[in-house]
Amino acid sequence: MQDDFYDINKEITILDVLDRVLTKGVVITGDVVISVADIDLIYLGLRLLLSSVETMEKMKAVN
Amino acid sequence: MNNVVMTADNDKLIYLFSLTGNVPLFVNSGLEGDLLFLEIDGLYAAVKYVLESDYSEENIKKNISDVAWLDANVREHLRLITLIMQVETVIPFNFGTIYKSEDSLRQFVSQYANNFRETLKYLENREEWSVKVFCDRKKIIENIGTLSHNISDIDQQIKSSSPGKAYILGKKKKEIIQTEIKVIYNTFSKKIFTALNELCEEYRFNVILSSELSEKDEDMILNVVFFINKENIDDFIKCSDMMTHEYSDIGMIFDITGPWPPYTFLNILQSYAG
Repeated sequence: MQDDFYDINKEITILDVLDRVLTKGVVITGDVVISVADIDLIYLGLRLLLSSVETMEKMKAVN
Repeated sequence: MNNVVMTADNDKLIYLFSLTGNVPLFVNSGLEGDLLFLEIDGLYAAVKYVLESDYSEENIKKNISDVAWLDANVREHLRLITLIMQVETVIPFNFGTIYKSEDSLRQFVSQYANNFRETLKYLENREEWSVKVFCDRKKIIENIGTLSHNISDIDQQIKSSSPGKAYILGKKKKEIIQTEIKVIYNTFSKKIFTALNELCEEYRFNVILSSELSEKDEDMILNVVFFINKENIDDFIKCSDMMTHEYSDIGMIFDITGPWPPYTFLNILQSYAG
């Protein structure tokens, strides 16, 4: 089924999801909003996490 | 996402996921959990009552720095909107769109109801698909003689030259190889984009990401989102499958995902956001 295409065929990364649900879409939003500064912090946190996971994997491979 | 029932407690906030023109009739009911549909001016707001401890202005800032919380809740957000999208045209809202009361939500939807209705018409029968194409630089270098005329010309000249001239030509080849790789990347990304775009109604280019951000070893050569009429989806998939097969020998990798909630093509709302 096409409707399930991306669920069935692949794992969507958290960055792919965030790129849509945080940075695009309806401009006018709710009473509580996640600010641009917060979004930057989310990305920064995730990238630090991803790079540390990568480093750990490399270290595992070396050992 | 917390499982809470609809109550009048003061510590509950309203989380807005999407708007639709009808109440979705789910094929597999139960997957939607405690999602509620509020009718507002002929539109249906998909909402959940959530706890202040998760989504108050102060707490959401704290929680989004917790990667496990963020990952689980962002994926749940996408899952619910995707579920609704399978049966109804949706206007998806961003993660963490929160209203402090039902009145506040109703006021917001009513204020823009006509625009939302127009937007739903615009989104009807169309799907958002993402296409990312990557290229294995090593494979391109292996095949560079057949992919670049400039390089194949130099190779020909080297064959028929004296050792001294061949050495100089060899150096020249090394110098131009990076430029030639760029030319090859441009040629293929244009070719792939043009073939797919013929089947699509709209497109938006996204930034080409570095390997560090794309989490791939290969070079990203195309990052585009298409808006496609549902009638053309089969042809779009066939066309991308064909190119995936055709270009695999030279190290092209296609990363095609969809249908996504139509976030990318909602920017028409910017015209009345101010």
